Parts: sequence; C-alpha cells; structure tokens
Amino acid sequence: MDYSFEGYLRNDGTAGTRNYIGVVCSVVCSSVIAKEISESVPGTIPIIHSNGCAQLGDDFQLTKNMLVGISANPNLYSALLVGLGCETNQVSGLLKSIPKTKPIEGIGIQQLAGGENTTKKGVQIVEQWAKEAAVMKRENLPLSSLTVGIVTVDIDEDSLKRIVPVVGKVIDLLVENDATVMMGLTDTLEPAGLLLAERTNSQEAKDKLRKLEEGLHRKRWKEIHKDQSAARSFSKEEKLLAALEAQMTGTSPIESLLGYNEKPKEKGLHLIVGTSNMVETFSNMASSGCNLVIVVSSRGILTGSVALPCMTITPQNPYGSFDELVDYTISEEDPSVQVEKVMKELVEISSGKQTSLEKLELGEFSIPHVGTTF
Amino acid sequence: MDKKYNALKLNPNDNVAVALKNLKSGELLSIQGEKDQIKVMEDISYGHKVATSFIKNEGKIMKYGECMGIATAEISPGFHVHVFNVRGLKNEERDHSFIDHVDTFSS
Amino acid sequence: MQTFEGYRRPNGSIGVRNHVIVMNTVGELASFTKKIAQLVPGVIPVVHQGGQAQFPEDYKQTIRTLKGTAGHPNVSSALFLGMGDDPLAKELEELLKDDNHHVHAIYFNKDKPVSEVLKEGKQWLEEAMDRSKTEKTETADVTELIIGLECGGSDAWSGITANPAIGACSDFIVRDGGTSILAETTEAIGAEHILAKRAIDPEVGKKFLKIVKEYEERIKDTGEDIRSANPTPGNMAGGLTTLEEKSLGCIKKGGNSTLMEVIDYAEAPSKKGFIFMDTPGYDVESVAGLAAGGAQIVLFSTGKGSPTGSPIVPVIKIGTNPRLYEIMSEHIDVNAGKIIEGKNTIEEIGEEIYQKIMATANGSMTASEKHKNQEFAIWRLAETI
Repeated sequence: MDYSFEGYLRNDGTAGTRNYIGVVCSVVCSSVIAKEISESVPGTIPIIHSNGCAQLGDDFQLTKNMLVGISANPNLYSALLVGLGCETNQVSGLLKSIPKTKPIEGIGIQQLAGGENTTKKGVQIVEQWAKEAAVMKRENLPLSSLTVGIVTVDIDEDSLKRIVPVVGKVIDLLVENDATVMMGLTDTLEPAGLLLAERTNSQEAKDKLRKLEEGLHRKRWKEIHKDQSAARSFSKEEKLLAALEAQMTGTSPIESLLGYNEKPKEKGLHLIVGTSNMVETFSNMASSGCNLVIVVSSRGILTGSVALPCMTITPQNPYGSFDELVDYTISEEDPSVQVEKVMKELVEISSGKQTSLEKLELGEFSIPHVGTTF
Repeated sequence: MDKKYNALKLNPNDNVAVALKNLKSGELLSIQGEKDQIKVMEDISYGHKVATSFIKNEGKIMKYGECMGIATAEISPGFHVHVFNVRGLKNEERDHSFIDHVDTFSS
Repeated sequence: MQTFEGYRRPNGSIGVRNHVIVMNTVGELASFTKKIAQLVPGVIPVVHQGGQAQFPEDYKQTIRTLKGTAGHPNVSSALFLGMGDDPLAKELEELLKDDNHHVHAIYFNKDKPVSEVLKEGKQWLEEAMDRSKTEKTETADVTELIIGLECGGSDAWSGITANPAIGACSDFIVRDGGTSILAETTEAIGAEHILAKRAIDPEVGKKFLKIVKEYEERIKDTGEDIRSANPTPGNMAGGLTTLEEKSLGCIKKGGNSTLMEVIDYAEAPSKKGFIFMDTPGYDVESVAGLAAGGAQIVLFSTGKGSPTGSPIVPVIKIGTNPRLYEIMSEHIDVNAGKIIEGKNTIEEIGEEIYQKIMATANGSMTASEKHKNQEFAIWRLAETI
C-alpha cells in the first residue's frame, strides 16, 4: 500500500502534523506570564516547565537544549520565548541556538518592566502569528516526513503478547516507508540491552546497550563522597518482559542510541533515552524532532505531550474504564488486518484528526533533571 | 521627614560605610546617625565602600557588624575600600572563630 | 502584641488564608489536576512532575513537600488525585487525616470511567469550597506566625537595603515571640562560620556547617567552585569585595537573632525563633520548601524584579531600589529603595515590612497573589528512574 499524509511542510524540509504557536518560558519565573499569553490566543500551546535557573553544567545544558529542540519542532509554526531577565537560561542564548527557519522572537519581563507589559507585548506578537498560521494549508507528504516516537507505559506481559504482533509490524512498515522511528529506552526496556545490541551496527550504540545489561544506572546527588551513579541489577522477570518489549521494535536494524535532545542523523529505527516519567519522555521526543508519538499501554494514559499528538494503543480489556483515552484497541482480528487499521489511524492523526488525549486537552511538558539545582 | 545623607553604615560597629550615590573627592561624608563628618578622599561609586575610621594593615574590615575581610594595606578614613586593599578570610581564619566558640559552649 | 484574624485548624495551627487546593501525586496526573481545578472557581491546582520513578531521597522529599502543602494552615481542604492503587496518595491521605486535616484522595483505576473520576472530584471540591466559606476566623498573635525569608533576582542593593531591612523585621518578629526561617544554603557559602557562631548550641552550629559543606561539595561535583567564582566580576563592579561580604548580604535577611534550629527541606520547625532550612537558592523550589515547612507568609527581596509567588502562601516582595519600584510596582509590595533616597532607615523599612506582614495576615492581598503567581516546584536530589 502507498501511504501519505497531509502535513505542514516547513522551510527546513521537516513536516508538522500540527501547526501550533509555542509560547516557551525560559525559566519557571516567567511560566505564569507564558501561560497567560498562551491562554489569550487560540492555536497556541504553553511550553512551561520548572527549570531554567540555579542550574549548572550538564543539567543547565539539558534544559537549554530541550527548549531549543522543542522550539525547532516541526509541529510549531513559530515560537515566542518569554524570559524573566536575570535567569541562567537567557533568552538571548536560546535565540542564538534556535535555527532561523521559522518565526522566533524573545521577550523578557525585566526588560519590559513588568508582567502586564510582557503579556500585552506577547499577545500582540502571537496574535499576528496566529493570523499567518491560520492561512497555511496542509499538503500531501510521504511517510518519510514522519518522525514517530514510540513508548510503552505501564504494560504487563499479557498485554505485550497481544500488542507485539501488530505494533512490531507497524514499526517495520514505517521504517520500510522511510519514516524515522524512535523507540523510548526506558527502565522497562533497558534490561534488554544485550538483545538490542545485536540489532545495531553502530559500535557506539552497541557498547552503550551492552552496558545497560549491568543494571539500572541513574545519578544521585544527595549523598556526597559516594559513587554518584546508583546501580540496581535487573530481575529475571524484568529481563523477560524487556525481551518481549524489544520485539515491539520490529525487525529493522537499530541505527543509533540517541541521548537527550539528540536528533537522528539518518532515517530508520533508533532508540532514544527516556525515563519512566512519561511526560519527560514525550518532552524529550518532542525536542528531538518527533512529530507524533505512539503510546502502548495496558490501560491507557492520562496525559500526552503538549506539542505532539500521542496515539494510544491498548489491548482489549474487560473494564473499558479508560476507553475515552484510547485511539486503537487491539482485537482478536488477524494482525495483518490490524496493522493496516493502525496505519490508517496513524495517517489520519498525522493529517489532523485529534487523538483522544487531544480531545480532552491533556498534554504536558517537563524537562528531566540530570543534576540538582543550586 | 527626609534625612539627607550620602552613605549608609549597616552596623554601629562597622569601620566602612556604603556610598548611596557617586561620591566626589573632597565632599563631606554624611552617614545616617553619625555626627562626625569625614572628608571623602577619592571618587567612590555608589554601592562601594568608604572607610570611616583608620584601618591598620591586616586589620579587620567590619560590615554588617561582622568581619567581611582583612586589610592588605593601611586605609585612612574617606578612602575607597575594595579588592585592591582588602582580601577575603583564609580558611583557618574563618574556622577558628567557630571552633573557639564551640569550645566555650562545651566547657 | 500585634494580632491578626486567622483560620484555626483542627490540629491547632493557624492560617492566614483559606485555600481549597487539588494536587497530583504522580506526574501523569498533572494535566487532569489542572482540568479539575478549572471546574470549580477558586480552587487552586498544585502540580508537579515527581511522585513516581524516584529514588528514596526524592520520594521522601516529595511526600514531605506534598504533605506540608496539603496540610498547610493556609489550606482549608486538599484533594489528591492518585493513579490505581497509588501508595503515595494513600499515605498522604492517611497521614493528613491522622492530623485532622480535611483531605480526600480519588483514584483513576480500571473499574471507574475517567468521566466518573472527574465528576467525583468536582463534587468534593464544590463541597470543600462551600465548607471553606463557613469557616470563621479568630484572633491570633505574632507568636503563631512563621515567616519564610527569601531573595531572588538580586542586585547590588539587595545586601544594602532590602535584605538588612528584612533582617530587622526578622529580629522584631523573633523579639515578639514569632518564628522566621532563613533558607537558600548555597547563598550562605563563605559566611557560614558567622551564622554558625549564632547557634544556640554547638550541635545546631555543626549541623549548619555540615549542610553548607555538603552543598558546596555537590556544586564541586559539577566542576564549579563557589568560593573561587565569587564574588563575580559583576559583583565586584557593583562594590562587593569578598565572598564573605556577598554571603553576608544574603544571610543578613536573618538579622542578628540566635539560630535555634537547622531543618531539612520542607520540614516543619520544632522550635520558635530564628530557624535555618536547607534549600537550594532556586527561588520557586525554596519557597515551596518554606511553605511546606509551615511558613504562612514569605518575605522575598528582589532587585531586578521577580514576579514569582506560591500557590498557598502570600509572598511579600521587597524591592531593593527606587527605580525598580517606579517601573515594576505591580510586582512590589514594599519599597526598600527609600533607604537609598534617605527617606527611611533600615529599621523603619523593617517596621514597614512587619506592618505589611500583619496586614497580609489579616487578608490584604500581595502583588504575587493579585497576579496569580502560583509557581510550585520540588527540589530534586536524583535523576528520574
């Protein structure tokens, strides 16, 4: 079958599945003003978070990079950066780092002498962009314009067994059609490091993936003079479940293992670091250039990304309590038939159909911490 | 009632005052609450410190009623007090005061 | 003795506000929490991204912060949204009910449609709002007040005007039997020995030195050295000569009173008088910790102008210079810049802040409350699992 979708082609060759105007706070201190600006103009999304100041080293760099990344995301027609003035994460620094392929502006509360002036000025800028964005038309684009994130949330063995035959094929199909796919490497998938290492030709990714097998590594800062990296070994059950989850990536070779805010250098299948906080994982996918996310879960989830449509796939379950949150329910039908149905849904969502989470206006943005604040 | 002064002493025990405006050499220092008037001996920018009494070399610079540094030269009243004639405390200079204090407690 | 009309809570504490709040326990529910809050006018959402996938040090800190926020004397009722058989929501509900707080937890789980949960939450919040309107105030005095001390967006005047004035006010409050909590451990580096000397006993002094040293080590782990990097060239141009002087300018918000106790982030003090809380210098996290520790009001000095507040605590902004007050009066409650103009002494501004505290305790709105600056964030100690 020939697949294509209707998307917004951007100047840099990427494509948006949405056409939002982002109102991005550089620091938590300007988050209320950024939210106010966004709430005043339809078509805008607030990119607000609790970072941006009293951060050092890698932790600061990650915050900055994530905001640069999400501002550059193809789902954003334009982005307004709203700063305070005295924060570590300066708007001027962000402006320098964001590629000039779309309308980007920055304003600051201290520079404009107060929140009221800043809101007024911000609304003015955003309203003008909203007019421009409203006349943009979607155009027919090939699947190679899609960058799809995929992540599992709260999933059990039984659900995985039912989902894998369908979603694994969907991923293969996307890769065959030259789409870019990023599978979230969260703590549930990490125990499959060795298995995944076999699938990649990149020596760097191989080394990193093999290391994952040793156990869960995360940084801790409370205790000083101790090994900062806390390791916990994986149980047999965790490894089995991870092996099953790994099957969801299909059969394509893994091109690379992407870090925070890292954009893939080639099309095809990639892994991307994630945490078991799904909001952080979605946000990282958004800043790495995804324009759509597939969420696979036993139950359905209660928040998506503020910038990306999150298409939820769950197995059929007797409760139906989260039905209104789900976009596709895996049935007993032949997997190959279901693969086509998922692809159809994915194309429709990419072309503008609202996901269940979008209908309920459930979406967040959050930046992970890789260091403590000062 | 406005009280006109051009420098502020943060604690009565201080030997420096903070200039509240750009001080010109030759003008008189008027410090809130102090009758003595000291002649400003060099231009001093607002926010910077001016000596209000004679400080000997290696003497303590007192601000907020605390020792904020050690003089690296003699400083006469009316002169600018800053990085060129003041250094921070050495580790042993800082820590001793507290350990002495703790010892007083325990005895 | 200065008095105010406050809300007496069943556990004996007294609030200066009567908020109804809704909080998420896990990050996934942040959006829903905001959604439910929108359904009932006046309800304040308090959201965060913690509560799950955290190491014990973060998990404990999250519980302490959420418990301190929901059980805060300024809070009339609190609703928790939890996921499945969320242990955090259960623990919080039980802890707070034991302390006679009006709290409730509702859960998203498989046998209840999402729309049901929304309805249930809305109904509980509506009843909580009605209940809050029937609550009567009673007269209390300053001995029952806990005041948090904070600075953010500092300038060359912070250590000369606003911070010493806050220090004078802190001393007045302590003199009158109240409590003030200084925070921001980072900013004490370099003057820690001076504050330690004021400790009531060697144990308190040593604990203070310990938390400062730990903070300094954590910063060193990222390759930065506070001692050698400060004062910055900008600070020096502004007149600051030594690190001691810079840090003194910050810690003088604590005046000259005896240091009674050193507490953890978001921990409630067990003593009255002058207290120190271990928090980062990051304003929003620090204010959230002070509030969770029971401060009913926070004093916040700012030189460059920072609009931030708190979802549950009135934050009183003290501007350090006349120009800031002129151009950004919408964010400033007290103009300590008058000290520069020779209009007032530090003590007089300290007294003005004290009067502002009492007016605020009596219900007068602060700048950050008027602008709905309800920022909230919890200090993180480890990476997300």
